Amino acid sequence: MSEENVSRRDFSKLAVAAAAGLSAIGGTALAAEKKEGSKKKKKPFPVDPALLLSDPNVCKGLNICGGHGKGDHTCAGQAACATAAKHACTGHNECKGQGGCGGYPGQNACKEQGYCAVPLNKDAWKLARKQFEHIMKDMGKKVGSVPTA
Amino acid sequence: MATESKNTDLPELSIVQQWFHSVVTHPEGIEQGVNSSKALDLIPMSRNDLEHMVTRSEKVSAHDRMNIYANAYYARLIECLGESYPVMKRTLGEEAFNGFCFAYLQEYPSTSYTLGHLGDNFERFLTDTRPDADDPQLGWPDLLIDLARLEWTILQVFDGPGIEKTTTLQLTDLQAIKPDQWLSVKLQLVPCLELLALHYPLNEYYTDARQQSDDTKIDIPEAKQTFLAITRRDYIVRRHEISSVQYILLSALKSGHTLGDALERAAARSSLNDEALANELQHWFREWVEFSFF
Repeated sequence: MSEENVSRRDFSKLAVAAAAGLSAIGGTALAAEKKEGSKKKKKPFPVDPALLLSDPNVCKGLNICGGHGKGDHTCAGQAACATAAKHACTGHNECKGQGGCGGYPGQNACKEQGYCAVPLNKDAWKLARKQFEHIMKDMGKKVGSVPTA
Repeated sequence: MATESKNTDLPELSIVQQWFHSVVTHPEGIEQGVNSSKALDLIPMSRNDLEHMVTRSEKVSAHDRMNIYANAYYARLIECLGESYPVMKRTLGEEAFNGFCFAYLQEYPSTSYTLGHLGDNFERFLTDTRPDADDPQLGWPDLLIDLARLEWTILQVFDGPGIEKTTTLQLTDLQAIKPDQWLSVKLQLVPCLELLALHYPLNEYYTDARQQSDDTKIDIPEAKQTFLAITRRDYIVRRHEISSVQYILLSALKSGHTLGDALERAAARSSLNDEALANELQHWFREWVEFSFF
């Protein structure tokens, strides 16, 4: 729309329309939303509340808990216990120094091919690209040219 | 920590605490942490002297004991970011997401007393480090950045000031406005209303990613400019898809422009004639007031 057309707009008329809309407080939109909300409540809770009670704070990687928690391991402070599980050395291995978790991706001294899980890959964009290629392949599409970083 | 009986030359506790913090939070690990200028300024020592400061156990060296804390520090922060960006984490997978988080934490270390600020600069970090910054075409990095914006906005709306205990726009407020004053009226939007312009239609994608089980495949949407109004009512964050004209109008009002100015901006982008636009406006404002945008 050109500037000329804009200047011909009847803004008073538009403002009256806005005011009329504002004055209709208590209409149907929220009622519809509440109805939709009540439907949603019937869906099962997406998180099992029991998980919140299952000892989530044990160890937390803050203590030496070799032999504790899940799994057969001797990873001090990185046992697969509670919330530390995702970040644990999970190869049933003896972790020496927990290596890469301190800033050396792939250079940790975990024995027996274990891995430290705080994954410190320095080029996350490349990993992300790989992930997108994987997703797009599943969708039957291509991501596009590889960016040159 | 070593006890005083073992070493009477130990620095004051506060110095030891600062040293411990600087070593444990050093992004390159304990050894580099001990050798960092910050740590050396506090307590000059070499890695070999570590056991003068931290007692080793029978099986675990002082270095390894400290490394436990160093690992845990980053693990916890990354975990926090994962909770702030659940859909991005799901989209990227844990490995790539955590990689971004660790790189981010090196660029923007946690400095606040509250972890609520931990992700403050995540979108900026992604924008600054994207590998295709010179490419004018939209691509998957834009989707990630959009996702970061969306998730952080949702979190801010959830955590920020709301209207649950305040009174929103009332009919009596409107009745006090004379007909000839409407163009110069400034409508105040509620503090929890945020407006987003995204390159990708992520609203539905976000909902699906939050509701579907982790093993359900969710298609990445095609790029399409999308506008969202995000607000909170009854302690629940609500997302409303809006049009570009609505986005312009609400943005102008949010910026403090008068209704007249906001209408002028919106009308300039609308292809509707006055009659049709007036009808739309009446409908929009009715919905917005019911959604407690004002």
